[in-house]
Order: sequence, then C-alpha cells, then structure tokens
Amino acid sequence: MFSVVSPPLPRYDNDYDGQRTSKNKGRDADSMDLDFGDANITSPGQTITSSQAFMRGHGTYVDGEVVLASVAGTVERVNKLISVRALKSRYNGEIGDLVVGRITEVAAKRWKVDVNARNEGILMLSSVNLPGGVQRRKLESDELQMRNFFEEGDLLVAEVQALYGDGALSLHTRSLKYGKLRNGQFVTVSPMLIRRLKSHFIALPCGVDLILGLNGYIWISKHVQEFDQEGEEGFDAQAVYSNKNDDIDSNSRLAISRVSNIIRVLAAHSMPFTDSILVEAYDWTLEQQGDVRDMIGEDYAESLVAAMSAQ
Amino acid sequence: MTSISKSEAAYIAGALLATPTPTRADGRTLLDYRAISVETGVAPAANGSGRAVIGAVGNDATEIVAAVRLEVEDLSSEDGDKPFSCSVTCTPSAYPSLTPPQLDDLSTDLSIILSDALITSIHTHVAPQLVITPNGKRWHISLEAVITSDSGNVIDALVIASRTAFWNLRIPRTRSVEYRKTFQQDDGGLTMDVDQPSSTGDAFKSAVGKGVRKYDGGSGKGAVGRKGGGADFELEDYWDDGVPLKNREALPVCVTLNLLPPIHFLDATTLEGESVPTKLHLVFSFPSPTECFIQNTRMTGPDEVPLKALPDLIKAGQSYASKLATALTTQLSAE
Repeated sequence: MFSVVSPPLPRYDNDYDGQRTSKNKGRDADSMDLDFGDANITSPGQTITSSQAFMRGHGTYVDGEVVLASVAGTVERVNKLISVRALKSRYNGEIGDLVVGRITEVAAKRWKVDVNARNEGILMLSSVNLPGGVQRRKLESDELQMRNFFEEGDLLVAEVQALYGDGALSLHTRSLKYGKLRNGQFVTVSPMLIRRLKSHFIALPCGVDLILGLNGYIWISKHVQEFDQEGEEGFDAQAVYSNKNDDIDSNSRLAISRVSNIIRVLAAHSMPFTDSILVEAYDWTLEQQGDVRDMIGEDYAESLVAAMSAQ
Repeated sequence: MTSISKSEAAYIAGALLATPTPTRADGRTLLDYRAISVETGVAPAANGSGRAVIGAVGNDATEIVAAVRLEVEDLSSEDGDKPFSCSVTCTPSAYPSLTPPQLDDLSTDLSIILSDALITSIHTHVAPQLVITPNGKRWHISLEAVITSDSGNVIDALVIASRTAFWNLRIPRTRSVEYRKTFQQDDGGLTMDVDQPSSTGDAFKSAVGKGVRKYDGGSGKGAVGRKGGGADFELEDYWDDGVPLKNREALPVCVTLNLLPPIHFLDATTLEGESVPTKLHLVFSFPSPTECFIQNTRMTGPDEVPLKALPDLIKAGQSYASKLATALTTQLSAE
C-alpha cells in the first residue's frame, strides 16, 4: 500500500558517450555545404552558414555575414531557406491543426479555450454546430444560453480555423467528428511529442479511441462505432452537447487506464507518439505479468521504453 | 478556473464506484498510494530540511520542500506563547492557471491547515526540548514549505515533508553561562562563571549578565537542570550541528480520505480530487507501536457524511496512518 523510497538518481537522456558523430568535428566551419545526413543540432549562437547564399527563417538571425541559430534545435533547409526548429517550445498553432482544449471562460458570443499555447483559443458561437441541424441559423436565444452548449471546464476537440493578429487561435467544431468529449479521460504530454499525422483520431484494436491533440492534450475514450451517419439527420443535439457518459464496462476502463499509463511512460521518456508505437506498446504490456498499476513503477517504465526503442 | 468537465467527473466517479473492481485512472486500487520519496538535508543553511515527492518525478508528481529554522526567542519580552510559526508558499510553476492574488489566498489557506495539523505535536513533543534557559530563552521554530509541483494530495505531502524536516532537525547544544563581578581586582574586570548557581540571583548580577551578551546565535539545551539558571548561554561547540529531536517517531502523519459513499480512497490525483471534493483529513501520532493519538481532524467539501460512518472511517484512517508512519520511519532511519 505504501512504498517510501529514496529519490531516484537523475536520468540524463542525452548521456551517450560514444555517440558524438565525427560529422560535426570533420565539418569545416566555413564550408558552405550543409550535410543533412543526420539531424544537425545547434545551440543558440552557433554559426550555421553564410548569409549570402541562404535566406534565414524562424529560429535564426543574421550577424554580419553569417546566419546563426537563436534557439537550440535542429536545422532545416528548404531550397535556400534555413530555419531552426526548437527542440522544446510552446505549442504554436497553425491553420488546420487538430487541438483538444478546455473551456476557460464564456464571453459574449464566444468561448475562450485553453489550448496549452501562448495565447488562448477563441471559439465563436458561429463556429459551432447548433442543435437542430448543421444548417440552423443562430438565434438570439442561443447567445443567451451558451452554457447549454459548452460551459467552463468542458473538454472539446476542434480545428484551428485562423489566427488572430495577436496570435490567438480561432477554432471551429463544424464537423460531426468535433465537439464535446465524453466517455474517457484526459492526459497531458509535451506538444513536441505529437507528430503531425494524417488523422489524429486513432482507434486502437483494444477498443480504445484516442484523440491526439497537436497541443499535447490527449483524450482517451471508449470506442464508439463509426455509426453510419446519415448526414444531418444523424446529428442529434441531445447527444452532441450532453454531459452524460455512456455505460462503460470495466474491461474498457482497464484498457483506457492501460493506454493512459503507456502514454505517461512514453512521455516521461520523451518518445514521440504514433499509433503504431502505441499498438506495439499495448501488446507488449499485455504480454508482461502484472497489473496496470505496476506500470507506473520506474523499472517497468525503463523496460517498456527499451523494448520500444528496439523496434 | 474549473479544470474538470462534468463528463470527466462522472467517468472518474463511475469508475470508483464500479463493482466488483473499482478502477482509477492509473490503475491503482482505492488504497494505493503513489510512490513516496523522501530526502533529508536539502537545505543546508536550515537547521532541518526535507523534500517529499509523491508520484514519479516530473509533471505527475506532488513535490514539497520543507525547512525548519531555529531562532532564539526571549519569552519575557515578546509574546511567548507561540513557539511555532509556519508558512506555505505556492509557486506559480505549481499552479500555472492561478493569478498571483489567488496564489496568495491558496498559500494562506494551506499555511493555516498545515499549522493546525502540526501544532499539537509541536506543543506536546517538540517544544519541551527547545528550552534554552529556564528563565526565558527558548528556540522558536519557523517552518517554511514550498510547493514546487502539485498533482493532488498536497496536504498529506505537506505533513510528510514537515515530518522529514523535523526528523532532520538538529538542535545546537548549549550551556548556560553567568557573569559575576569579582571584587578582588581593581580594574573591575568581570570573570565568567560557568555552571555556578547564582546564590542570590539579585537583579544587578542578572543585569550584568545581560549586558555582556556574547553573541546573538542560538543554542541551549543544557540549561535544563541548572540551578538558578544562567542569564545567558553559549554554544558548546560552534561546529557541531547539534542533537536530533528525541522521540521522532511521535512526529505526526496525515492521511486524507476522499469520501465517495459507500467507498473512500487515498491519494487522489488532481482530477480525482476535483471529481470527489469531500475529504476527511486525519492527523495521527504514534509515539510507540502500541500507542496512537489523534491530533487533528478536518473535513472539507460540500457533501455530508452520516454520523455512523465516522468511527469506521477514523479506524481505517488510523490503520493507513500507522502503516505510513512505519514506512517513513524505516526509510528515514536508514538514511
């Protein structure tokens, strides 16, 4: 029941002794060739290349004749454009991103949403599907009853529609797959670990649905059948904005807990997520003895990560 | 800011009430605690310090650093009935969604809660060991706790960190001294008499003693038992840290029972704590394996609890607390 331990030794993820490649050592500092066989990591203030031949992009600055990196990250080159993508930064929204957010405030004709970015997200009343059909017009009474749709604390999945001038994200839930989230639990990871995938709605074979928000917010829920939506007739207001969960059996709950522990372990060890890694990790944990709660132990985490890295 | 949605709260509560096996978000059973790690001596400048971490290191952990500082206090001049002051600081990194005034409010609330939880133990076990001189000097305890990360169950963690800091506390050894004028010398020099009981104890001598204060540091355990009492004191050994508290097993432990009738569970994470807001905090002290004292109780939350459920809850809390106290004592003794 209680396990009191002494603190673990700090773990250094980048503690590789022999891995410093000779590529960097052999490279001539004045060379104009940019060799991108391996990921080139820079630190702030490090010279990248000459500014005569290349244009500078994000994460760089020009000092005299050379382009230098201003953040610690990997150098990327597109034709003549050099940019540095930071290893660790806040989520920066881009148009078309899928995000999971939590309502923080209900304002006039809009909701303010926390999306783990530098600015909050704004969800306009005109950007949500109103009950009664996707084509229903907004009425005065809708503005006065906004809490019937979303209230403070609700989780939702939305897409970034546009960016305001100050960087705030404008969201919309105008598709039938977006909207309020239920039947599951919520996990937070660093946004750097979520890669841009073709679809962020993942259905794992164990009966668990995952929504990987690009802002690092993840929703794990019970699998819903891809019910044949008859277009707009299938859009039921009571269902979409209801707070009531469906009945969930204990096997699903256990599967959801297992997946959330896997995600936490992978996040703690900075492994990026894709659906294939999650499926493999899930199968691996099923093969191990032990309960779901053993997964939060340090040794278990190390062996899981080692097994995943090997594949 | 509300940080849980109704369906999340319903999901968590539903999972906890599920029969036959309740499940929690990370697969623990109802009475499982996350791994607790304790460390002493994290603040070398303080007289005693400790760090308690519940959960894995990282985002999903509750981390508290506590430090105890001893200062000399003169009972006669200041209000001497408060040997203990405690303050909790909530850092913005632990609560990124709170504004500074909200952080201050939360810090004040937690300071009061922690002070209530520890005050009984301080009065009964700790304060008698902190007398320097019988006629009015003693050590005043200042306990500071800093919450660097909060992912639930912060009150238990605060008491664990405070217990660790008191476990690590070293009280400097002192002995009382007294000055008396020698009448043989013409230059009116003062000699120092150590361990001499003052036979007359007249006002002049003690005034002289006070006037020749040698230092402003603190010390003074040896004064107990000296007749007449020295008016001043000195450290026996400047480089010696001091002695630990006696009877450290009597330091308190707190268990928080989160109540969701008919079940209760321990060590709630942040989301679980928001989903089940009714809590019962119990502070126990176990001076010996056979004795158990309850030192503080606090119930928070909007729900009510039927009276006949209370004895069982307290009994259950006592069994959890005694296991926790044993585990902590074992780990800290081994350090």
